Amino acid sequence: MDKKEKKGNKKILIATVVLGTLLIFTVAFSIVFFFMRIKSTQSLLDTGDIKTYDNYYVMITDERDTDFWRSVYAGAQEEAEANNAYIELLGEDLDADLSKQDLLRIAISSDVDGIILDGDESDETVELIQKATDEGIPVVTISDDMTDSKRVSYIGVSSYNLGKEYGEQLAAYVKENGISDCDVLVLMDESLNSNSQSIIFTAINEAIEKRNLSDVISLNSQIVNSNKDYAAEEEIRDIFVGEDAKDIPDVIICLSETNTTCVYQTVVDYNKVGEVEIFGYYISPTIRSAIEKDIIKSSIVVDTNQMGKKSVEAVNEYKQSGYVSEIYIIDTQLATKETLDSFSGEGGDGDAKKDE
Amino acid sequence: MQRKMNKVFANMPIRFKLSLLVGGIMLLILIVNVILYYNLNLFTKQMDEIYVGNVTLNELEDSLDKVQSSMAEYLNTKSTDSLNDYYLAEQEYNKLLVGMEYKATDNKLKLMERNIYNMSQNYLFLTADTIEAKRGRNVEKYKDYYDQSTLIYSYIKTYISSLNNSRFRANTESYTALASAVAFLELFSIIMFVIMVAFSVSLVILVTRNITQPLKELSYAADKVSAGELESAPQVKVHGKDEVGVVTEAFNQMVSSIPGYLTRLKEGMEKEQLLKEKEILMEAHLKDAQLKYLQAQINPHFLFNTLNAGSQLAMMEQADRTYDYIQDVAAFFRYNISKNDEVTLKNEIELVDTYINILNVRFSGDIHFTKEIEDESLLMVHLPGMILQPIVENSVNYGIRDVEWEGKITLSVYGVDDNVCVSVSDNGVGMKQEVINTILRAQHQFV
Repeated sequence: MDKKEKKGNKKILIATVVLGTLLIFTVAFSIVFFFMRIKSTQSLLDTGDIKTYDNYYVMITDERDTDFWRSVYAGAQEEAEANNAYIELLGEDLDADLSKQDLLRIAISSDVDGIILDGDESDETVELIQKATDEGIPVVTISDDMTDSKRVSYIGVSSYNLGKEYGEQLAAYVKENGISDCDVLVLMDESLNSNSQSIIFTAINEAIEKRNLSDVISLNSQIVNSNKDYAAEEEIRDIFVGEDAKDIPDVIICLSETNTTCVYQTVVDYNKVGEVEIFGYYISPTIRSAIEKDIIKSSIVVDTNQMGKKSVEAVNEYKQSGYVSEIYIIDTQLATKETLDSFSGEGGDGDAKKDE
Repeated sequence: MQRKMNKVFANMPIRFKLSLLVGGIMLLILIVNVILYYNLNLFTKQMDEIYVGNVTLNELEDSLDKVQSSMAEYLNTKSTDSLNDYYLAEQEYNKLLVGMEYKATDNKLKLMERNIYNMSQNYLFLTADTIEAKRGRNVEKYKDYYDQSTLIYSYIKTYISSLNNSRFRANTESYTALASAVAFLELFSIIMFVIMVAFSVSLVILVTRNITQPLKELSYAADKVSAGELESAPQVKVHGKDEVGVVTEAFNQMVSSIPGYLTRLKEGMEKEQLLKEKEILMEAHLKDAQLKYLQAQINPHFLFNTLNAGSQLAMMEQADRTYDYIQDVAAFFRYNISKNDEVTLKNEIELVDTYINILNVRFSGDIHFTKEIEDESLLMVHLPGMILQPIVENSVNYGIRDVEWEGKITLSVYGVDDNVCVSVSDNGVGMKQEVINTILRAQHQFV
C-alpha cells in the first residue's frame, strides 16, 4: 500500500511540475508573442524604430518599374545608406501617375537635398533643372544626359562606345556567317535624346565601315515610342506584321530592355526564330533565357549597380565640395551564351540609355 | 534546496498549508487573468491608434482645401471675408502641420509626411505671395503664383491621398494582424486556463495527499494496535512538525510505552496471584494444624482414660506400686497437656518429682534426687511452665545416665535479695569448658 501510494505521489508530483513549467512557458510565450505582434503592427503603423538621415535624395525616372531602374536604385540605396543619406525612387508610392516634370516640381518644392534624374530632351525639364539649381538642389543626370541643362554631372554609358560595341558585334556576326546582304534595323528608344541616337548610329556605322562591310550591311533606324503605354510593343509588332512588313530585317539592334524583350517575344510569336537575329540590351531573366535558347545573339549589359552608386557619389561630392566631375562613364559588358554564367549575379534589365 | 523547502513545507501547520494553497491558486488565477487582460488592453489600444492617422490626414486635406478655396475666392472677389477666411484657413493649416515629420527617414510614410510638410510650407509661401500680388493688383504675378500654388496644391493632395491610402493599407494589415492575434488570444486563453486548472487540481491533490498521507499511515498503525498487534505495529514516520506530526509523535510514544505498562501490570497480577495462593496455602496449613491440634487433644484424653482405667484396675488388684506408677504417668502427661502458661515453682517441682518417680520405676531407683528448699514461701513464685523438668531430664540423659557410680541430682531453691534462685546440679560426667562456651555462644546467637 505504501509503495503504491508513494508511486502515485511521485506521478502527481511530476505532473504538477510539468504542468507548472508548461504554465510558466505558456504565460511567457503569450507575453512575448503579444509584444511581438504589437511591435509588428507598430512597424506597420510606422510607430516603430525610424532612422533619420542627414540628406534626402530623390531619383526620378519614367520607367521606375523596370528591373533596370530597380537595380540602379538598389545601387544608389547602398551608397546613400553608407553616407547617412536616404534616396527615394520618387513617385513609386504615389497613387497618381505623375510625369517626370511633376515629380521634379514635387522634389523641388519638397526641398530635397539632391536629384538624380533620368534625362530627356524636354525644355521643361531643362527649366526645372535650372529652378532646382537656383534653389540650391544639385541635379545629376543618369543613363541619359542633358548637356544643355544645369545638371552638375552625368552618370551613364558612353553612346559612342555602345554604338561601337554593337557595330563590332554586327560585323563579327556577318563575317562569321558569310552573309552577303544584311538588312539591319536599329531600334532607337524615344527616351534617348536625338544626340545620343545619332552618336550610336554613327558609331555603328563607323565600326561597319572600318571592316569594309558597308556594302554588305544596310543600316536603318526606327524610333520606338516608349513613353506611351504599350506603344513600343505595337510599333515593334508592326515591323513584322504591319503594312511595311515586307522587308523584315535580318538583324535588329535593340537599345532598351523593353525593346529587346518586345522584339524577342514578337520573333517567337511570329515564328521568325532563326530568320531574325537580335542584338539586345541589358539582361533580365527573360533576356537571359532567350540568350540561352539562341534567340537573342548577344546583349550589352550595363553595370546598373555601379551606375546607382556613382550617381549618389556625385551628388554627395557636389554637396561637400561644390564641384564634381561632369561625366562618369559606366562600364558595359557583353552577354552571350558563352559568357552568360558570369552574369549570374546581375539583377535587372534595362534601357540602353546612352550619352555621347 | 528542494529538501530544505520540503522540510519547511512539512513543518508548516496544516491550516497554514491550506491557506497557502488556496491563496496561491487564487493568485495564479489572478496573474493569468491580469496577463490576459493586459494583452487584450494592449490590443484595444493598438486598434484605437490604427485609424487616428487617417483622421488627421483627412483633417489636413480639408484644411488645405479651405486654404485653396479661400485663396481662389479672394482672387475672384477680393472680398475681405474671403481674405479673412484665407488667413483663418492658413492658420488652421499651419497648426495641423505642427507635429508632422519634417526630417528625412527610412520610413516611406514618414517620408511622405516630410514631403507634404515641405511642400505645404512652399505652398503657403506661394499662396501668401499670390494674395500679396493680388492686393498689389499685379495681375501677371498673381496668376503665375496662383498657377504654381495650384500645381503644388494638386501635388499635396496627391501626396495626402497616397499617404492616406498607404496608411489605410498598413492599417488594414495591422487590423488583420491584430484580428488574427485576438483570435489566437482566445485560443491561447483557453489553453492557458485549461493548463492552469489542471495545474491547480494536481497541486491540490499533491498538497492534500501530503497532508493526508501521514494520517493514513497513522490510522494504519492504529488499526494494527487495535487489532492487538502491538509488537508488529510500526513506528509511524513523522513527516513534519505540523498538527499530524504532533499527533504521530504522541502516538509513537504511546505505542512504545504500552508494552512496558503491560509487563508491569502482568507482573503485579502475578504477584497478587502468588499472594492469594500463599494465603490459601496458609489457611490450609492452619486448618491442618487446627485439625492436628484437635486430634492431639483427643489422644491424651484417651490416654488419661486408659491410664485411669489401668490405675483403677491396679487398685482393684491391690497392686499399689503399679497404681502409683500409673498415677504418676497420668499426672505427668496431664501437666504436659494442660495449659501451663504460668505456674508456681511448687507445681514445677512437683512435676520434677513425678518425672523422677517414673524414671526410678524405669531404672529401678538408680536416680537419687534431693531437694533443698530454703523457704516454702519461695515455692509460690510464678514462672513459665515446663522449664525445670527438661533441665532435670538433661541431667539424667547427659549427666548421670551411663556413670558407674551412684547418680545424684540435687535441686536447690533459695533466695538472694529479692530474687528466687533455682539450681539443678548432678554428679554426672560434667562438661568441658569449651563445650560450655560453644553452647552458650550458640544460645546467644540463637537469641
